[in-house]
Amino acid sequence: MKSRHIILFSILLLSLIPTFLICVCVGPEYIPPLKVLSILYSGIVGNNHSSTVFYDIVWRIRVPRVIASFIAGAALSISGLLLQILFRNPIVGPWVLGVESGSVLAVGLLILAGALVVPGGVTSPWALFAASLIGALAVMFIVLILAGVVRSIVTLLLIGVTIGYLCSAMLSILEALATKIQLQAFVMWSLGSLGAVTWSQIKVMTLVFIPCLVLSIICGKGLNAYILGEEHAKTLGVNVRIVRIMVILVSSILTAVITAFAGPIAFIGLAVPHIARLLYRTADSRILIPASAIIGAVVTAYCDLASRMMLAPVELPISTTTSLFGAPILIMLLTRRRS
Amino acid sequence: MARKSVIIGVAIAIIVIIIAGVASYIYLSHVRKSTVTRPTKVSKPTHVVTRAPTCKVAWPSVTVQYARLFKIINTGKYYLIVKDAANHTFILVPRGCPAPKNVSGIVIYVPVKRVVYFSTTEVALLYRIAQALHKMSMLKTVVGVTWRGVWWIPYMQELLNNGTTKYVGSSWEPNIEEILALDPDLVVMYTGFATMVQIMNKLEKAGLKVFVDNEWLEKSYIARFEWIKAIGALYGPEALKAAEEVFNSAVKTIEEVYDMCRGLPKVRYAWFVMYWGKFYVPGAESYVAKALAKMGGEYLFQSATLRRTGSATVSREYIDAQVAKAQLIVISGFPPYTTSLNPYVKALPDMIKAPALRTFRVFEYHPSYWQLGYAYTGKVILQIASLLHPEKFRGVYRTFFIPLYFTDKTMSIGGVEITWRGYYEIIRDLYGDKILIIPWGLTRQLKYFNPKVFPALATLEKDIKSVNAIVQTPVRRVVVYYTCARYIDDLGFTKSIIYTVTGSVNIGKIVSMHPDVVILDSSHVSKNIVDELISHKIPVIVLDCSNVKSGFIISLLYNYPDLGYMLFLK
Repeated sequence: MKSRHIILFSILLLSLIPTFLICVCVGPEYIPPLKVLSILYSGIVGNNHSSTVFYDIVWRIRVPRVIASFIAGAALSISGLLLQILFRNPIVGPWVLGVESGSVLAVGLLILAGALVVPGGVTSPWALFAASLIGALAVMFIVLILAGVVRSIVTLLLIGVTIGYLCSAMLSILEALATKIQLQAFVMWSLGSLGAVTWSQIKVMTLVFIPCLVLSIICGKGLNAYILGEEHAKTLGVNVRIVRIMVILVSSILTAVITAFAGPIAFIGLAVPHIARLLYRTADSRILIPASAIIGAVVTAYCDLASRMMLAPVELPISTTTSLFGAPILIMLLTRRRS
Repeated sequence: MARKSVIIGVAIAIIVIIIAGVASYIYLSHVRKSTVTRPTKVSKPTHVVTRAPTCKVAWPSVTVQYARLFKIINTGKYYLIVKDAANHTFILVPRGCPAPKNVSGIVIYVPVKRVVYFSTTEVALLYRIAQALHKMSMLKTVVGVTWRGVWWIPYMQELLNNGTTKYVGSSWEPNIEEILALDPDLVVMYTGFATMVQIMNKLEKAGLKVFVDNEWLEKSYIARFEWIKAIGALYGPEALKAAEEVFNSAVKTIEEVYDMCRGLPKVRYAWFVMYWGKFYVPGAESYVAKALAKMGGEYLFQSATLRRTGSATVSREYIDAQVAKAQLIVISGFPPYTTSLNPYVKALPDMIKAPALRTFRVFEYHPSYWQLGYAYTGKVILQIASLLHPEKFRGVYRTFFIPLYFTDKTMSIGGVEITWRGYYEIIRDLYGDKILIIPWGLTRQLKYFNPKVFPALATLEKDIKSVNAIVQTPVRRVVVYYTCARYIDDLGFTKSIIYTVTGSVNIGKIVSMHPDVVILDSSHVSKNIVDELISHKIPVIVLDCSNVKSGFIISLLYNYPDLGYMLFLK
């Protein structure tokens, strides 16, 4: 690893701390920053402040939200990066391939179809995750089966986009059949927000995210070989089939878990891997995976902060801010790279 | 010879061409008609003018005072001009009269006979007019609707069930062919956002007359309700007059309520709903906030970005911090979607500190609010005033707002065990009988919603099977033992007492009265008598009337736990 990479890693890792503190200190309800820090400290050491409104806001609303934004950003960025490597295409992301649409459709089925009986009810975190995962995996497998038939990556992408449209069409049918309240619930969910994430959902997100992160890092070496071509990878002793399955599983699971709890979040999965590549100027997956995770976490946390502060206390859907802030950054970075 | 043959040939050809042309014309005309799938019957000739000069219909002189999105122009002639929210000009011509020649606009012959309504609120206004005129048959003019959920407007469910009224698809994706097949005189719909405007354009292109009713965009309760005049006009002069009278009566009620609230102490309130973890509040300039301000309500969501008329999604922490100060909380959800305080308190950790929770002052909408609430605006305002000032507005029946409690909490009051079930409760009275107390009509929801999808309904289904009696609130016909009657007097519902038991219990008499509930004193009634009344399907509650806390149990029967708390528990 180059010293530049080490410095960048250190800076990024350290940036998580001020990001966390800024995002916890700033909110629609003004709490003096020193008070927030004291609340954080007392919460960590176990002092009893549980009766104050500020304590509740910090520990029960802001902290879980910031942690959720870290996990969501990291997960979507890793998912996007893995898909970009798998399809050897820079414009691939969970949305482009229809994976996110599959997740949305499955959650839509859960919320709108109504008749679907799920233990724990339709709002159970595990039910949402399971539905989202089934949707993501189903789409991913369809794309992969077709990938065996169609060699052209462009055609495959078009198939992904078409599947996305197909999912949207099916959602439209469900929406037409749904009651107003069901429709409202689904629209609310589909706008995307980290505001509703609870500690129990964070537990699910963490339990899913950490093994996926480890798995993707383990796959890093194989992915590096895969970038050079399947034949080349085979000659290097990489089991291409295993790598491919791992990538599909990990990216689908990561997309699914975030979509289930925060709704669809635009742009992060597509743009953050590019930002990581441009910052690190490397194609080494072993570097890009953790780098994308950290950058994704930071970007998403700030986007979420913007979504709740731009018109505070009115809250914007997170996809609005991820697109508003992320798109110009990506365009700027890509233009700079060309020049 | 050859020349003659040519002439004959040409003549035959010309005849064939003419026949073919005529046949094609007839065929194509038929095809054009059948593609729009209109019924083949000729439209009803009821408005065909036979004797034009006899039109001496007088429209009542009606003005629009509060609503800004429609106009009524009385021409002083036999026809009336109405401009809808899309600025369409309608010329309302009584059936039997000719359409005026020099006036441009869409001619509608009134009373309309076949109308497709896009919103339940529009049907609610029609219902109110029909009720005022004692002509429920007017509802039969509703040939199509875009709502197939529970209908709270009387008769509408029946009309849908017997096929008089058809479901024509959802309002956001209506089946235009089906609407055409119904051959309506008019489609009454709302717009206000792009999708609905597109639908309106499609309907118009299909040759339908569309009346746009955007009462939901009006800026006050009164202005919204004033649209009853527009609906009334569509049904002719008599209906318009009835609509005007109903409206004026509501305005009078509302003004009286505002007057009564003047000088009363301010009440800090929170009005919001949670959907899928997101919180929605009406803007500080909304018609809800404005109306409550006139009644002494102090809205807690007053931030600068909330100074708007519409509603907004707001941060959880903002709601959490504000709601902790609320003396009154109104959740703008309704069962079976909002069935308990538990998810709210879980999402808002500081809500538990709100004085409203300690004093039983958390309410939500009754599902009928979105239909009948629009037909009874005066009552809605009166009921909101009773939420803000329960002591001042004693005796007001709360039908559109119902108390919301925690789920599965149990407490004992006056020897009676109460198990809260969110939007209803089960009490075990002094003789051990279990009585389910639930807001009116909500047991009906079991027919329309899947209990497997709504766990609260599954619990209700189970509870119904386990109790001895069900009481629907607010009760309006009460038989009470005289020692308990004073609590009803305190609550302001003396008029609900149809019989006061002073000595021995006359079972036959009570059964013949069909009371909603019988309240008896444990020290003056035996278990046998109670069992006999229950065997006649009369709900009986046995209390210790000497214990003032029993008054709280009685307050639950009127949807007044807040006043019950103030009077009997505090």
